[in-house]
Amino acid sequence: MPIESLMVNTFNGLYFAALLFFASVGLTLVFGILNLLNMAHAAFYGLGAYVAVWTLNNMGDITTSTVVLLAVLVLVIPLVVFVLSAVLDKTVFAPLYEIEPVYQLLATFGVILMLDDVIKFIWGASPITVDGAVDPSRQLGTLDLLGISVSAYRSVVILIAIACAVGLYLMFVKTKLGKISQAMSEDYEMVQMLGINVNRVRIMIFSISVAIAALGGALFVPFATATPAVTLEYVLLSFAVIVIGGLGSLKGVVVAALVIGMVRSFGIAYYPALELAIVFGLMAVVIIFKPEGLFGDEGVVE
Amino acid sequence: MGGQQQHQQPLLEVEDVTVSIDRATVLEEVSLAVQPGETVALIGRNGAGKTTTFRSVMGQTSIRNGTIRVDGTDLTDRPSRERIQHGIGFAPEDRRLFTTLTVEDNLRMSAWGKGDVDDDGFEARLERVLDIYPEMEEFLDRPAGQLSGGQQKMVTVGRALTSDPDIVLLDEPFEGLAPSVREQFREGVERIKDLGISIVVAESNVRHAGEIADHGYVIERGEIVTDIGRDEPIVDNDEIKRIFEGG
Repeated sequence: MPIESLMVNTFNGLYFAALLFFASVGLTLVFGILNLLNMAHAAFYGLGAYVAVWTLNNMGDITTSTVVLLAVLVLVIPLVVFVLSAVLDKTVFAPLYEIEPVYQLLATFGVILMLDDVIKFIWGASPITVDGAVDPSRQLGTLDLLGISVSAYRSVVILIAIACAVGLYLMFVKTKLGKISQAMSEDYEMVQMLGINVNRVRIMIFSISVAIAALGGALFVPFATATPAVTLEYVLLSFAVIVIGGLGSLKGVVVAALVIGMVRSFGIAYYPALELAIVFGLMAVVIIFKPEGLFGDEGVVE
Repeated sequence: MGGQQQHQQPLLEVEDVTVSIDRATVLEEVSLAVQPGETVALIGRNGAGKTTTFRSVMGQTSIRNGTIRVDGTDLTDRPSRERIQHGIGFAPEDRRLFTTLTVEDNLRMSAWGKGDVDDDGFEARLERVLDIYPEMEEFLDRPAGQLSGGQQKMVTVGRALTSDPDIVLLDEPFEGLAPSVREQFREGVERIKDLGISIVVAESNVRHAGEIADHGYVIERGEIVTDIGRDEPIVDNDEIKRIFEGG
């Protein structure tokens, strides 16, 4: 294998891994800390993608500044979704925390269908794309990385994913919210008996988790098209990530996203027909030999 | 503190509390009262209903009948949070520490739960806990999961104290401790009493209960069967002998 193609595929693998991390990290946190298996989690990735296309395309008349466009993708859209998900947590999701996982799966599957219809109702069923003039990935062009030419925008996305992972880790080990979350993942009832307002922590963790998924969708879309199929694809992939990494572990998500990202990237390059088959084959192997996932028996940030 | 406190308003009052879990009655009209500054023992064998009584006081059971009052306020249907804010601290029997967090963060958790102090206020409470258990200083920075059983028990009691309670519920505080550690613990309990904090201690060991309590209740199959008065001995009580020695 020539060294250049090895490097290009590794870079693309890192980019896939970054997107998978955004799509699935919240799923594992919401399960690990709040005990909710939210099948609809990655649907917010799809929602983020649509909101991003719509927002960018409506910004062309105001500005085409790359910095502003990136700021909208990285800050504004996650913030809007953060507020939206806090409302959804109090209304749609609140009753689901108390019920058995199988009903959580069914109910949150219903949420996927509803979100899907909301998206189709607003933006239609046809794919939509970001206009060239407001597409930060085109504006940024390419850069030279160790002798290969790569997308500058994708490099930025990879860096944002790393910053996000480090930021989450620091939040869990340094802040009050993070420490209480760790405690809740270990013994929810005891945290309650110490007088902590667990509902407030729950809404924060849920909204942060969903906002990160939306951030992923927003960052994904300048390079791709927003279609209803994106939602389903990432719902499936994010489950593969948490099954391989182990439910509830931050480290598990990072490692599994990297593994699947690389498998996908090299799969597409060498055996494109088997791309998804390899990913889910890997998932099956993990289920057979380590059903709890690679890091499933560890705490959130162990 | 004198013995004539019966006419004062109790700090904690459990009145005719009945609790069922999955249709089985696990507590039947349990009543007990704790006066300010008093140490009360809830004596019974394993499974008699001691832990369920504590969990009910903390708001973690569904109470079918009866009332729980703290300092005159009816908290029967209020969430755990309000019980903490009214000055109850709880040290569970099975410790339930947060093993990935440090000892200091475990202690901090209950101050956060009560939500009435900033960092300086917490430091003052931490000092007070260290006065009670000076040996805790050595392992404040260690993850709670790495401690010995006795050290974990100590942290469990410490965590109940860092919310600055008026009354603490200690569930089997001496269970599983080596005799030398147990003695340390008994001294710790004396220091908690010296601070004027009321204590309810759940004990399956009559002798341990007798050593620290002013007053006791005997619980059997979810019912209070004996109320041992303040002037009566706990260890040589006839009712206790009947239950524990089959005499």
